[in-house]
Amino acid sequence: MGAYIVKRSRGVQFTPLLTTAQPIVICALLVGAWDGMVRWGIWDSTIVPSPLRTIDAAWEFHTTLIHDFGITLIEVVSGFAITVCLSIFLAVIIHLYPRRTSGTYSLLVILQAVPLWAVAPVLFYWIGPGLAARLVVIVLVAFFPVIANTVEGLRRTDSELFDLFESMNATARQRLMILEFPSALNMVCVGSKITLTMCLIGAVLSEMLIGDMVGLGYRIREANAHFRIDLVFASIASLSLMMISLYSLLGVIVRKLQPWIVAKEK
Amino acid sequence: MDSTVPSAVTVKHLSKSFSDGLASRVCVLEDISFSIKRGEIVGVIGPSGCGKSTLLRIICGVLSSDSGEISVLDRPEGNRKGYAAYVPQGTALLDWQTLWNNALLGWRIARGRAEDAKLRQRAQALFDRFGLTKIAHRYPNHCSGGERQRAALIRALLTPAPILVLDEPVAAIDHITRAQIYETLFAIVEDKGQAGRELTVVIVSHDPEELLFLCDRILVISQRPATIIKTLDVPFSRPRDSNLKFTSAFVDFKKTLWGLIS
Repeated sequence: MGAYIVKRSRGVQFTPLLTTAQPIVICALLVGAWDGMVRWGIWDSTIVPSPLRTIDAAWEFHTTLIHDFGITLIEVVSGFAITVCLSIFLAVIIHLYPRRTSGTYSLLVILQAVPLWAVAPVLFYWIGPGLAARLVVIVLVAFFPVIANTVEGLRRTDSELFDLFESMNATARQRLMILEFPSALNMVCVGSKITLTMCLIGAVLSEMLIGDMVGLGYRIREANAHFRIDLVFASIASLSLMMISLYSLLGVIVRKLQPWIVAKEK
Repeated sequence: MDSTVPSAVTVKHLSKSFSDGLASRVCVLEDISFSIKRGEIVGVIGPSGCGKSTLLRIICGVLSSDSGEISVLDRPEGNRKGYAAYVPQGTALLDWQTLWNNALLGWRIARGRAEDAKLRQRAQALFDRFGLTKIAHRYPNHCSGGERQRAALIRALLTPAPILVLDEPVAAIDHITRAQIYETLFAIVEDKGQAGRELTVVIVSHDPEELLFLCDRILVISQRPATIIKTLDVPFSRPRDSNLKFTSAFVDFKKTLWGLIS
């Protein structure tokens, strides 16, 4: 995408290789700078572990980290799936029955404004420990972008197409399935991408606040309590790796879902 | 035209106004009355912004009127939806469906999902006639404006509705392509076998020559609030040859029409 824009505006040809290489080079430079800062004593190495020590810690705890990674991954993926399905369902209901649901949307906005880090520990008492409570936190953290984008996308249907469907005497269901939902799909996808990042935040938050003693969030909290900042860094690096992989995968799925958009850009 | 032919669209004392977004209302159509017979091709011409599109949208049942009566195919006032195959000013194709699926849209909405072999055959024939067979499986974003407009016309022809309502269907296309598209379209309209039914056509255009060549009757509409200034019967017999445009009778008529518009 980025490369495409540059190519158009400045006439610089960006090859796919260069597009992938660019972020890797930037990352390498940042890690190099980080290493330098620690090595030359500008940053205190007890508070900021060097990249090498982070890798060492990752190796030392690799079985734990892999286990935690798996648990957090399951939470994020299932939490994301539940959030997206539930949000789309709610958005469609809000769209189809605007009068009867006029209060619901404001309620959702209020719900979104509740500080979840304060509520999450209480959920432990209400729902009990385990995956269910953590999934509830994830959904509560992440639901808003998909709902808001889907509702807005469904409202923004092209008025001429709307007229056309009216003239054809289309039923509400036909209009939704053939016209409104496909036309909103792009905004649903944009909302999903934001929601994915929020699902990861929700998962880490739930692991930190609900006492299940599993997952990378819990690992970060524990390592911090034991002053193993190198393990904190290793856990954060694992989370970043998860996010990058999931985000790329979602990008591929989004493109497959909308072949007409990809085809246009070629 | 023979007065015993039943009417397809009857409009009596139709008025329509819109809110201007502030306190007042803008009157768009004022006391419009006319009647269109079955099988007739009627053109509507008038200054831009006078309410031609509004009139068409009311005929299609997309908009309601403030006052007056509209009946379609002698059905009294009420639901007019589903009787008109409407081609809006833009092409209004679904970006997420191929030209082929776009063309079958009207049929699918009217008759449910399954389309029969006969319809497929008709669709194929229309794609051939309009020269879209090779790109039938492209998405509209990949097609030129002319191709998109032809696809929209095929969709209207395949929609099982007796009235064809065209809102400047080939505007923003060069004259030569336009003439070709119209020639193909009206050859199909005039041939019941190919159109699948007897079609009544209402067409809006800003080109007087185009309307004179295509229509049996032309409604000339005034500035907003629109009223009908004159109904002009076009005496030329069908089928019409494109040489007609150069005859003196045609040119005289064109002068009259120009006079009415300006």
